[in-house]
Amino acid sequence: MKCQWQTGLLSPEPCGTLAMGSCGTCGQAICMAHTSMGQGGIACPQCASSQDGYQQNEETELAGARSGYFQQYGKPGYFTKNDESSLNNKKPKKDDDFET
Amino acid sequence: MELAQLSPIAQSAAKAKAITGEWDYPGFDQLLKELIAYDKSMDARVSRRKKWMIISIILTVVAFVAMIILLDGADYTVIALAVVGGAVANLVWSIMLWRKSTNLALPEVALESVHQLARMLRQDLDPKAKIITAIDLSGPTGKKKKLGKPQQWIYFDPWCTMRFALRDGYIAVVRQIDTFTETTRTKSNSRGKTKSKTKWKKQCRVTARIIPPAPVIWGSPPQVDRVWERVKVVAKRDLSVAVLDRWWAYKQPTNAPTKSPEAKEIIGMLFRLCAMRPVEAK
Repeated sequence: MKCQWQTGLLSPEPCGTLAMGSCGTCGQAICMAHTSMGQGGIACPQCASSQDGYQQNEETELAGARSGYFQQYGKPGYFTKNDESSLNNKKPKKDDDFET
Repeated sequence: MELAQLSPIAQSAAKAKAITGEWDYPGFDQLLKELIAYDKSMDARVSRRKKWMIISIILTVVAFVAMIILLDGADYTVIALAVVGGAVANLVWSIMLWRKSTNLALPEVALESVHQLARMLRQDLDPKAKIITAIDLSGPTGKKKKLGKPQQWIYFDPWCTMRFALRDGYIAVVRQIDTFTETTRTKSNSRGKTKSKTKWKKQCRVTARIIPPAPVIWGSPPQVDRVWERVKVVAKRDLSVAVLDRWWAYKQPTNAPTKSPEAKEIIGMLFRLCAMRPVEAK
């Protein structure tokens, strides 16, 4: 089985290398590079970033950032607010702190 | 860390205060790490030399007072003049050293921001393509006086342009332009005493662009903050390019603000633009 962890922020792609185990929380297959060991056992970077007792590394940091963007802006391609008027090239409102 | 301890590429970048060229990710990361380490050591040196300059000022004042006291007794004239001369020479030397080290320092916030941006995007980059950068770390140069009262000077600093080729064929371009406004208000009271007050304002404009590899029909626009952001699709040659502009404003009295938009906010802009890609590209 191959690692199912999606790498990247802007253009996520599955890692694709040989999986060595599976995440104890979400169950997805993960390779050695994407395995985090902690109090709750083996975890994928996403689960390790959201749970206590796991050492943080670059992978968990990226996973945490990605989930933060999803929460703030919605899942890519699935924005609920379809605001067509923001594509109208209008300048933002004038503000005292804002001169262009 | 001394300049000589850096790699040749980092040395030339630190001397020119510019990071221009095409880089693979490991090379770019290494260069930024070296420049950040160099800048930290330069900051420590600037603060040491500033302390020494302050001590030199105090010593010079003490030497002058001592000279006045010693000059009462004519026997000590030569000694008094020698002490004051030494103190003044020390002061001039310490000011020169301090100014030299401040000129060598790099903008730490900008370097950290660029480093963090590249680090967070590293997995999205096309391994065969290069990161193209035109980063000018020399600070604002152009000075434009604005007429009228209060007196205002405006400085422009288009310091950063970076181009990342993503692994799905799209190209992400980030450009940052900083505008500094220095406002000086001068007041005079009835006795003719004049007071002036300076305030600084920094406006950062970041433009994020996503260029598709082939003509595409973009999806729904992302959520934007109507006051500080604007999103548009512009035609460039045969392609339509998705553009998101965002402004930040920082204020500070006396000195120019050093704050700058964080990398995670700039990536948030790219993240939202990437959400406009057609479904097959995601």
